[in-house]
Amino acid sequence: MKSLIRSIIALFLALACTGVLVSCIGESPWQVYKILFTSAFGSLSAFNYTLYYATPLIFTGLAVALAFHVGLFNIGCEGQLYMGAFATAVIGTYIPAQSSFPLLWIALMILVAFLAGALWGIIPGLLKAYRGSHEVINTIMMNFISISLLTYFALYHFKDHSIQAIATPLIPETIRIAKLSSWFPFEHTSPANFAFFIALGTAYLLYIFLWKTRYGFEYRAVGKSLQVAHSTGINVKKVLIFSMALSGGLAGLVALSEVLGHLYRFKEGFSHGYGFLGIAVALLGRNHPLGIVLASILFGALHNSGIALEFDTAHISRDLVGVIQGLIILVTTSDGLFELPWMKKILKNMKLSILQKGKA
Amino acid sequence: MNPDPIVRLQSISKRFGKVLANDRIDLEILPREIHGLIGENGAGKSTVMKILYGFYQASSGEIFINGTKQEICSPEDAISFGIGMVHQHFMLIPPMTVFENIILGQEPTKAGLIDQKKAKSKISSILEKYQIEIDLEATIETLSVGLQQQVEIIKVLYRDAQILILDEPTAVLTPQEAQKLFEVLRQLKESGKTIILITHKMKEILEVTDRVTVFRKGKKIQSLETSQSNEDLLANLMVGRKISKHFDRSVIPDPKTVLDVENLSYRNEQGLEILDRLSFRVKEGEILGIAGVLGNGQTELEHILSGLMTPTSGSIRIYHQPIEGKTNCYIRSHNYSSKLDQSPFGHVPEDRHRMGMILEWSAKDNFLLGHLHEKKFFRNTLINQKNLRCHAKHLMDKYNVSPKQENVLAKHFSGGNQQKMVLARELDGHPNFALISQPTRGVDIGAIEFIHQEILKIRKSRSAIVLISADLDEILTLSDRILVLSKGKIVGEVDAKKADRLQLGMMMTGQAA
Repeated sequence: MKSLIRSIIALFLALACTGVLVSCIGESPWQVYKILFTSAFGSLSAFNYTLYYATPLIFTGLAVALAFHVGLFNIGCEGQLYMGAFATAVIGTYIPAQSSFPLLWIALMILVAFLAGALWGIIPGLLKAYRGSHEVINTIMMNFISISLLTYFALYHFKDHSIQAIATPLIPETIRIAKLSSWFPFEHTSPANFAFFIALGTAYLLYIFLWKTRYGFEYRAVGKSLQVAHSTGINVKKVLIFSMALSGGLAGLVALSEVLGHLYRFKEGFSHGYGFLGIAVALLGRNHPLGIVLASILFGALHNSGIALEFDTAHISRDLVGVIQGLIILVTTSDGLFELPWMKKILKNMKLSILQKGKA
Repeated sequence: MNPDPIVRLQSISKRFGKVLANDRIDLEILPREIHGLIGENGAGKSTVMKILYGFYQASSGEIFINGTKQEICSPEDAISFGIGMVHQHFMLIPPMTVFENIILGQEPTKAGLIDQKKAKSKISSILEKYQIEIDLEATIETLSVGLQQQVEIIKVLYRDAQILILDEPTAVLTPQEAQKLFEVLRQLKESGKTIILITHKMKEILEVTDRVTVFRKGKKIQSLETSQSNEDLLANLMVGRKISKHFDRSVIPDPKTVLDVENLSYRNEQGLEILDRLSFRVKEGEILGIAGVLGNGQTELEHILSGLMTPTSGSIRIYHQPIEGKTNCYIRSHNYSSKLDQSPFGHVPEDRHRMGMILEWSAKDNFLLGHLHEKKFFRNTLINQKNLRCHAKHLMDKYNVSPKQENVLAKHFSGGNQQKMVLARELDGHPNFALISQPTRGVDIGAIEFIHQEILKIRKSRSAIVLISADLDEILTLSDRILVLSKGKIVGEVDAKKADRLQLGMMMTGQAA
């Protein structure tokens, strides 16, 4: 609750700063706020795109958060999600086009996406556990390797020659995840798909895993104190290795929304930096699955409205969205801000008013 | 006749969540006195001093310094009022030199550069004044604990403190080092400083203080002239009852050998011989005390016996089954004997904060650590919260942990209560082999008595116990046999009944008896 209020305050402070910035450029801040809101939530199709952008962020946000609870910093989500996407796209082309058990095939593809991401995550995990090398460096390096290597494979070995872009062939209908428009009154062409609900389910499962199971307990113990975990009989190496694999696997699940749910193929540059935005989302969501879902929707909304911003104003490009995202992170992570006397006062007043409302 | 107090605390209260750590404390500290604060675990003596030093803010109450009311919001404020604190856990940076550590944060500068000359002349005048000898260019990690503590004191003096607070300063010192410390304290007093000494050792209070204030359960009980008090009086005031000194040391019939260590050696990464061919055995129901000056291989021995480090050579067996080089995980979960009512291994680590418990977790979750292989706490892999809560409540009750609230975070318990929780978690299963290191460091009299009784209880239930302690009295009270460790070698083995302090002290410092 406390951290939720803090995150909301951070959002408003960041928006206020953006307003000042916008005024300096010479545009009206209110106009910008309006565009930001309407282009993210203003219409069904706008909302659909928000959900679509939010889905991969939930997966990568969860991936970063999981690693963070173990005391690891997984910056390699980008590379891991590329692995997941490529593996599903390539293996997917071998799946029969007609099948009476589509769900079974989709489940298999989810497993493929997870394992491919996990493979890319477990390598830095192994290096950390056995050689003590720092996971931050290794995950960054693994990003470069994965992205370059897979682009090479997509270009020279698995390219779909019927199109210009560097992309693999389309996957068959069997393993495509349905669009939300098939159930909800969205436009037929809108991209959001049922991977969003899988992401919500994953968030819930991760919550159960971290706070209710033995393994989650071990993971959090290692994250809090490696030495305590070690001296109370927790196999720290195992935790480090498998948590990195699990984190990579979660990032690999981005393939569900992008490959199985929307593009139906692996395409060079399909990720709008989801892996890195996942770090921001995890920070803003304070590493709690629910917070991450909310933060993902917010970041999805911002990402979505960037395009509209560019069209509808004269002097502002979509990069402003990046500025807002950056400001939000800056404010949320400045814990000292909330210890300032005036901030404490505001928080206290807010709490009182919430309590009074509760009584009435 | 009494002069005006230099520090006056008026009706100070401090609440941590549900816990009332200080309840309307009134305290007067007179100038140029050594004032002792004594009390049981969680009695609130450390808390009230941390309030004076600005670490915590009081929930209510006022602080007067030299007669004027002051707000102390941070240690910086406290330092500006001439208050300095020497912490129980040193705040030094090991790879930096003594000089660098002293000036850290208070570097005098000249044109943006550190004015070494000015700093050094100030430090050497301090050293001269209080007759402290220390090499300013030595790095902290090469110094003994006693010297490190003196660096802490110099640090405080360098910041022009008039009032020095020392929190359990002798907890880590040898008797000789403690004597040296008291000399320094007397010197400081002579030159006009005021000293507040937090301790649980009554001997120290009687030896060095002018006045003493007794705390109990968050309340101040009484301030009195040290000359008008004695050990019995203080003990009664502290605990509110008589302290029993009766120990049950029944003879254990037909004991088998549990722990068998042979030619155990350990060489560290720099190639130094830390442990040199140690061989010893421990039987069921036997307490083997390991005495020695800190830093003579005790920590390494503890880590090797608990599977946290791998020995270079030698063998360790529990009931004839080798454990050397096995992981802590294995040692904790392996079955060594057919006795089902005994857990395999219990380990009370030397440093409970770093290795014993997770301070940001609740007491309840801390009780689960080390028991992750026990089925009763899990339903499939889900944690069985109900069983865990019952278990936590049961242990807190049995080991007299206060407050008895399993959801309070571990860091909000006093040191002694934290230690009781670690002990409860590790020893309640009457382990085949119990490794207990510094069980009463930073813990005071009432809890010490309790902890000693618990250790004797598991002795009675046939645990083999290795007790590593820097406190000679503790070793002498509890052990059946005593090994003296010096520079990684066993320099003597003594039957505890025939041992005497002086002889052990000589062995500890490496002088042949």
